[in-house]
Formats: sequence, structure tokens, C-alpha cells
Amino acid sequence: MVLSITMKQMVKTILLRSIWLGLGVIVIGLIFNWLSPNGIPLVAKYQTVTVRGKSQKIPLFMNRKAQTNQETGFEISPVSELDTEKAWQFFTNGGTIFIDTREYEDYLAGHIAGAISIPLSEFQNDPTIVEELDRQVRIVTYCDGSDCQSSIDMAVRLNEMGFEQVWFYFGGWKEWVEADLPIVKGSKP
Amino acid sequence: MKSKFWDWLELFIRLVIGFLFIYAAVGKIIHPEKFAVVVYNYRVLPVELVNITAILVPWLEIALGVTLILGIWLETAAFLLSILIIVFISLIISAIIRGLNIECGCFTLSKTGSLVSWKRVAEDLLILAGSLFIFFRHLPQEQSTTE
Repeated sequence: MVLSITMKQMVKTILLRSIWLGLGVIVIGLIFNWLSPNGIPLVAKYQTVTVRGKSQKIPLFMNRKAQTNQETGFEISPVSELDTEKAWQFFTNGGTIFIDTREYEDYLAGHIAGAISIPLSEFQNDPTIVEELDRQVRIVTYCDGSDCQSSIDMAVRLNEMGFEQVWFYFGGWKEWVEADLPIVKGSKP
Repeated sequence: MKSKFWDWLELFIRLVIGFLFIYAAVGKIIHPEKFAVVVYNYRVLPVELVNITAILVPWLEIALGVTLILGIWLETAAFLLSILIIVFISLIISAIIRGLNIECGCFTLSKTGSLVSWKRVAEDLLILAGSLFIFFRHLPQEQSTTE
């Protein structure tokens, strides 16, 4: 009985202190984020993308500094999906950069002929790695296909960075191989 | 003599976890946009909640780190720490099971940041053991309220 009263008090103490701690964290966290030049919006900006008929929200993670720089730019149309037929058309017409967003080992094992490797994880860590690419060029991102998200994430981010013509090929590597289209193994594009 | 040993052990655990948490939080606070990407990549939260989580979680880590180091509100800090670590462990295991090859975001956000793996789970289990140790040491004693 004595113990249960003590436990009750303990639970009450923990709850109250947790609330205080939580409030402190919320207040300090929000104020710091508001003051910091690296602060981010409370809700991420996102682009709604249609993938296989279903809409998906793809967020854009930028701090306020990057966002302000970008907002002085221009309006860009949202990214959209390519099917294998259209991807092949882009491939044969030329003037398109295919970006393989999978890990580098996967790229080495085989990729769409001419594609360059930019793993999403590297790009997320350092978006400046795409600075050398021409912003007017047509870009198609792809990854493993079917349940792979990285091609969409990268397409949306590139689009927001000012690349004007970005598509994602959701069927990706899997459907490209199934369609028996040109591939290359090794480090060459 | 015996209780002195446990006191020192507890102090050691508190300092290790406390500084580790503060160290882990600083990078995330400086670059919240990078941490937001890490949170998003786990793909468990709706897009609308990702940024606010990325803003607040590092401050919770700081708060817990500071309370552990200073030795205040230890039962609450250890309780919240245990819950947080259980959440982290669940997230890492779920990412491994889903085959996500993503950055853990555990202690560092550097380019060579560690990916989710069973090693990360083991590290978090150690922290969980430490925080449960602190928690149970600060549970009320029966004698303390006998009148």
C-alpha cells in the first residue's frame, strides 16, 4: 500500500516533469530554429507527384537561406513520370541525361547505357554535386523500379534547384532490362 | 563500499550517455535540413510532421543530456531516454526489415555517416541498458514514505 502510494507520486512526478521538459524543448527548439539562418520551415514544402496514377507528396528539405535564394528564381513545372516507351524515346532522341540514383555498386553492376551515377544518399548530403550539370538539359532519373523512391526524390529536388526539364522513370532499371534495352556494366556511362 | 561502486558506475554512465547525446544533437541542430532528410528517409512519418520532428528531437536529446550530466530530474530523464531509445531501436529495426539502405542519423550526419545496421541496434541496446539502470536506481524506496 505504502509502495503503491509512492509509485503513484513517482508517476505523477515523472509526468509533470516530462511535461515541463517537453515544453522547454518545444519553446527553445522553435525559438532557435526561428533565429537560426539554417532554420527550416515547420512544415516542409512539398511537390505532389503522380506515380502510377497515385499522388504522392515529395518534400523538399531546404533551410531558409537556400529557400530565399531559390525563390528569386523562376516558376518551374512539376516533375512527371515517364514510362519505358517514353524513356526509350528520350534515349534515342538524344540530349537527355539519365541519372542513376542507386548506390554506386549497383551502378557498376549494370546501368542504362550513357547514364551517370549520382546516388541519392550522396546528393542529399551534398546537393552541389550537380552544379556542373546544365540546367536547361533534359534529365531523367531512375532507380531500381517498382518500389524505389529515390528517383522521385531526386527528380523533385533537382526541379526545385532550377533544373527545368526533369522526369523520373519509375519503372527504372528493372523495366529497362525487361524490355531488353541497351545497358552498360562497369564505371563507364 | 558496495553502494559507492554503484554510485560511481551510475555517474560514469550518466556522463557517457549525457555527452554522447549532446554530441549527437549539435550537428542535427546546426543542419536541421540534413536531419530532416534522415527523418524522411525512414518513411514512417507523414511529410507534414518531418520538419517539426527534425527541429525538436535534437533539443530533446540536449535536454536529456544536460539533465543526465547535471544529475537533476534523473528518474524523468532516464524514463524519457528509455522511451526515446526504444523508439530509435524500433525505427532502425523496421528500416533494416524493409531493406532501406539509409543513414541512421544516430550520432553523426557526416558524409560518411553510418547506415542503419544491427551494430547500431546493439549500440542503442547498450544505451537502453544504461538508462534503465539509472531509472531503477531512482525509483522510490519503500522506506522513504513510511510515516
